[in-house]
Amino acid sequence: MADQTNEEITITIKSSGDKKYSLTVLPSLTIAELKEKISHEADVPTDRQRLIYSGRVLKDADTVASYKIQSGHTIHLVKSAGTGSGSGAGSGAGTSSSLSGTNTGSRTAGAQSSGNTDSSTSAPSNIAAGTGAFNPLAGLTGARYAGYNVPMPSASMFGADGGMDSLPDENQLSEMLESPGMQAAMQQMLSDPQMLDFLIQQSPQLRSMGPMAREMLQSDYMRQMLTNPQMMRQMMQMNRTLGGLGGGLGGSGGSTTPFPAPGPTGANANTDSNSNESREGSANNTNSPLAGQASSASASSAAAAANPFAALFPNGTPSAQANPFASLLAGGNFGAGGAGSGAGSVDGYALRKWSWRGRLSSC
Amino acid sequence: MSKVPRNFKLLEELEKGEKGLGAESCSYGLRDADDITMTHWNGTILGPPNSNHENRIYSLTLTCDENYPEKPPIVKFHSKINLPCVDSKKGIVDPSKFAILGNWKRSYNMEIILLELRKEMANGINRKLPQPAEGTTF
Repeated sequence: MADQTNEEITITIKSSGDKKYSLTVLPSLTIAELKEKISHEADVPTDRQRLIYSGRVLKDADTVASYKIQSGHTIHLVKSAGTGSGSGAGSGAGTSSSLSGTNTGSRTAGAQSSGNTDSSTSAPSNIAAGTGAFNPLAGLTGARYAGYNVPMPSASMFGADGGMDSLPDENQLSEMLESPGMQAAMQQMLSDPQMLDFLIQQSPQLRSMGPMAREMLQSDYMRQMLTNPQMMRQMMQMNRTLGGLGGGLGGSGGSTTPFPAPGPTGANANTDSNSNESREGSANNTNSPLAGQASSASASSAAAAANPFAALFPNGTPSAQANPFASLLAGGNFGAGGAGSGAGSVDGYALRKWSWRGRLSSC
Repeated sequence: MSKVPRNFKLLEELEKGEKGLGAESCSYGLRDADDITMTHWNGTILGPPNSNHENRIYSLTLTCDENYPEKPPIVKFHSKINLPCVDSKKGIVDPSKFAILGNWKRSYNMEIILLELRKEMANGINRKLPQPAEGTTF
């Protein structure tokens, strides 16, 4: 077979979330060149690609032929976290996301087009959350809700070929959020009075807020925050920065990481019956009656805990080039939300209240 | 039920591995495509998320001798890993500490081994165990 190096072969590149790409290549191609080709198809930069075939990590200098890859075979594409996979998830993820934090900061939140990776791709078909969420009330009593979407640290999540083979990473999650079905479901849920009642009823924090909780959940701002994939992505990135030792997305609520994942918390709070736990998890961390549902609040308060001054800045990164006050003034965007409640948790309830009122009225 | 002979079973596993029909979190294939005895295999496990293994790729070897699948393969990590069921010197997975090998059934296969090892990495205490620098090998 080694003498067939001038005949083109067709191989499949399989990436996470059931994405597949078909490539026709010459076997004499080097792996580095192959990655270059893949980068056009899959929108993953070559230095973040790791290719695995038949139990081996492919080395850049070798050729396709040297691994005896044949037509019809599949290469797995694993995206590294943009860290070059340094030692431990923590340090690596931290650096990369603080970079993106600066990046988003300079654009003062709001309508960012998140520049990185494949935000344009469709949602992975195997994530059932979309369909499940279309009928939220049916699932409220059903245990099936626990099966997906709630990141439970149980080993059964990783079952062989089981629907969700692993926890979604932030790309997958934002892909999911970007699917029109998911967005529609979120919108629908947030405008469903019964659902709102249920959410409020379930959370002591929300209950204690009285009618304001309702108003807040129904506000356009809240809706925008929960349905805007870019925003969710930002929050997830921020969580990675703040969460220290990686894996911020995982675990149930605050039990596994020092701070709960703001992204999933926000999403879960409106999609499953277990939202209660994750919601309380985040609320406990911040002591804020608002934190439960305001994902941005928990994120910024987390920043406050790590660095009290960082919380004053919209993205928790003092090096952000944006003028922090600009985003305070720009109501209705995430930057304002983050900065507002972040500052609140440092400076007391009055400011927090102020910032919420400001946002509500700006909606 | 009739038993699937060794070579048929291994050929099936080979095809599944090469065509990527199995789970995406692990991969396996013959170390040398010309090995007609299909004894020496490579495997990789993509470290489970939310653990210290996240974003790591672990390489291991599986040796299926002539007793496979009556007896489990010998599984050895090539990448260094800190896991209770893995010998800290040689990287060999200890069947007495890893149920899939210890209570082997002939219906099991290499994919199951890899996935179970991945579960092991994601387990309670194990997922937060400090890990040696990536890239170091046994």
